[in-house]
Amino acid sequence: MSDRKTNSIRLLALVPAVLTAGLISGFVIFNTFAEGLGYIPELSMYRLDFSALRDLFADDVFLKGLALSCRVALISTLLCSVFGVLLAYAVIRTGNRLLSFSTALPLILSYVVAGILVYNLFSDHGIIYHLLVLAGVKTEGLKVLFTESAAGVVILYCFKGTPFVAISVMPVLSRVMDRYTVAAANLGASKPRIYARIVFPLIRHSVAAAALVLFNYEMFTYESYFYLGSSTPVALGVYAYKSSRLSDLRSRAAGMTVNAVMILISLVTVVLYAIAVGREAKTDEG
Amino acid sequence: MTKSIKKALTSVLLFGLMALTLAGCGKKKETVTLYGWGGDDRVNAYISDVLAPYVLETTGVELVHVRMDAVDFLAKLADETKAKADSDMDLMWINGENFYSAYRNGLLYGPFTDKLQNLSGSVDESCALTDFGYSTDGYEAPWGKAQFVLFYDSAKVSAPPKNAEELKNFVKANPGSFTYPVASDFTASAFIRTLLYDLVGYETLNNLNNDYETVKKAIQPLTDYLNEIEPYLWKEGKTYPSSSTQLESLYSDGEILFSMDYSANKALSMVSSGLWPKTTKTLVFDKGTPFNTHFLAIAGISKHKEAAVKVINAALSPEMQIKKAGLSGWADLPVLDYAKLSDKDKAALNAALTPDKEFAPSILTYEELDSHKQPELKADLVDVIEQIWNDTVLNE
Repeated sequence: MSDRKTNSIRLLALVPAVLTAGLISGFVIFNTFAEGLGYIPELSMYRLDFSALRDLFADDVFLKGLALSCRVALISTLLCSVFGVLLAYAVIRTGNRLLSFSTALPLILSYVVAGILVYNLFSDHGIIYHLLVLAGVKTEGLKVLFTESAAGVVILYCFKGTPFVAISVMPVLSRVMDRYTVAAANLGASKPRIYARIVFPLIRHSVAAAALVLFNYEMFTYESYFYLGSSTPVALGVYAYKSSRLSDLRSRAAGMTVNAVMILISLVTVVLYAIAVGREAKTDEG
Repeated sequence: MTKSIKKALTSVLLFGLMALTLAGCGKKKETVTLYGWGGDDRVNAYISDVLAPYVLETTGVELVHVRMDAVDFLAKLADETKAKADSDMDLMWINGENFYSAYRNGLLYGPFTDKLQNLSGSVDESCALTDFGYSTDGYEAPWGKAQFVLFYDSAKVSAPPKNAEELKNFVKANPGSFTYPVASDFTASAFIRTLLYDLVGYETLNNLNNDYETVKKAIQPLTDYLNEIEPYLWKEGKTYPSSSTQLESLYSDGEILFSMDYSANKALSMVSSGLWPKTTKTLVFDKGTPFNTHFLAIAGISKHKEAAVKVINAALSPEMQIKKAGLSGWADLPVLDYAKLSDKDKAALNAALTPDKEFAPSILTYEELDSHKQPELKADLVDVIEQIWNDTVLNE
């Protein structure tokens, strides 16, 4: 069978999945924008206008929530990227199976379970507080969770996100270390130079792709803030959740407008992700 | 020839028997879904283990509890009504603003309460007429009653507050020992109304226009009060628990000295199961606490409306109401009219409502609750009050 024919069959096999995903996503996006603009026939709402969007961007609570979500997602993503690469490096260098298995463990846990774990460890009088007291440290309580800085949420994101980055980067990092570091060292390059000039440039697209996925998720999550965050400012995910859950069904347009804004931000990150993945593929070919 | 006729007849008979048997097997039990909040194990156990078997036995209908919050299943109902979809929604457990919204948007079936024999036979019909200040018009049937109460640890709180002023003094004298969840939480919303009854008065509030500015002006004493105590709350009022479940956890962990709920007898089950301190006691304010009825309604798009009516009728039977009221189970206040009950049912109800001596101090008697009950405000007014709390207390 020719290569062309094989490729055609492969592409055909993808059609059902792509069509299903495309149709469902397309419908959801279309419906979200339509309802966000106020078109909800089941509630006898037929007028299309931008009033909900205007109200949203005039709402100080929403703007503060948007800023909080951006800040927390950005800090967490940066920390996860740094910790993730270091973790991947440690796993590759040591070849330790236990370490490799432990890396994947937080990924298996759901966000709710991981949230409970963080709560038990970091609550005012939680496990860490008791360990500090045992060690003779005098403290009234940890004061880490439910704060305006959302430190508890950042901890949860790091716990879940670091292994994700590590696992995403590991194959590329392993290949780069195998192929180039030994050769560069033989040519007399110092270790810092090898990592700064060879390793990092070759893995950066892979790190960027993983970071974008994380950022997109962390930007809009609801449960982390619900369990570990402060009630004000209201993070974007919580704001959307609350807006769409008001008992007055007619408030749904406002909730859908928040969702539409979230979809737009997601679409931007998807484009950036595609660019990062494309560049990663080019790096591989090179 | 005779032999072949016999054979043919036997075959026809056998075939007929088989067809009848298959037809019998094919006759499906009618299934009715009950969409309702599933956040309390005691409630879930009552519906699945007590009510559902009773309904099956007495009506032949299979009852399935679909655990979902009211706002979520109402959104589902609106979507499926719009799409004219094949829906599995039949019964819904709702009240207040959720009923008001669903009824106003034409999503419910009714009126149907005139078809309920048990409503006229054993239920206090007066509680079927209005829901959060609005007429039910026969579109929902009363299922149970609830009254808002506060819980406190009597080992650490020697003089429990009996009004808003005493609560303020306690909170100021004991910083960090009290909080309440965000107003969008059902329980917190009831707590805010309890304070309102004390600070503003039910009569002033109930006839109020639901216009935002009018309500804001009327409830100014409440928002001033809440802002005054805010710095003395748990975490210095910089954050509030996101739900009553989180509030309960804080109370269980001993971080705060008070909790609250809309289930008046909750302390008994929490203390007896060891989740709360044995020294937990229940209190109501002198000027009373909100009291309401929760209802069962039928989806307008239900395919089993007749069966759904049968299920509601069974849920209103004295037997099911008494079992629901049992203090070791759900402990939900019944909607029964005591005067309409037989002597046997009266005795059973009295037995169900008598707590074990060991745990009796944790709850209030029915007489105490009854003498401190206040009607609920209008459903749309409740929404406005919650919004004002968000704007003037949380985000101020």
